[in-house]
Amino acid sequence: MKIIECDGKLVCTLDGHFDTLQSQKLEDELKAHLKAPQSVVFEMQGVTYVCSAFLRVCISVAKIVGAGQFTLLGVTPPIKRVVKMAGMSELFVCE
Amino acid sequence: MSTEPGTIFERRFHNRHDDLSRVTAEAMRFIEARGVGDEAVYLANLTIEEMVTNILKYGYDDTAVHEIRLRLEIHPGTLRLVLEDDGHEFDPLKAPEPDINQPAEQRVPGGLGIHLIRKLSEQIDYERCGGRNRLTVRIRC
Repeated sequence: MKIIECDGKLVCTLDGHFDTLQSQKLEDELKAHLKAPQSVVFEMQGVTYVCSAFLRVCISVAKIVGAGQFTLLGVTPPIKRVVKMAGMSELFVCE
Repeated sequence: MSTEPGTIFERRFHNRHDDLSRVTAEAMRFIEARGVGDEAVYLANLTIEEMVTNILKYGYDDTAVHEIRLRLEIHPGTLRLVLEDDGHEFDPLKAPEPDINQPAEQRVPGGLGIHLIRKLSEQIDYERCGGRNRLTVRIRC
């Protein structure tokens, strides 16, 4: 997990398996960096698995930075399916 | 604790996150090695994690060690996953559905894991038997 702040944008490069414990670590890391207004990008190319705890982190980010300011990039098809089933496709960009 | 050869994986483990992580990883290696497809492996992983995390969070009032049982059976076209615990009676089929149409600021945490398993699995059955919860989830594979 790598978090870089640049020109008002927070870019989080994530990889691996985001189970409940790893999602908690992400949430803790983000607390130190996240502030509104700010756009946030999760680079997801290396992420192979997310659970509902990760999706709850995404909801929290969307709540803080506002609609349209949060993007998930490089999302694999199985994770896209989970995001869609959770009804979260409308909350942030997922591509 | 035992693993049978072939198409059945069984583990008994304690209500601890470390045990959950270890057993989940073993279960995924077991079904991957037997040719179960990526989508079913993902869903099996999600099911074990979401359901056992709920048991760890809400199943017990004490901090004592409790035993959770997992059984995975690989059948043609179907993965059958059975979880048993001695926690509070909890039928996930009766849990209220989260409102997934709310905007982010109105979303409330909770219920999302069960919602995902309901949506993505083929069939879920629950029974309370001998003071234990028994959840059976069928996953297309």
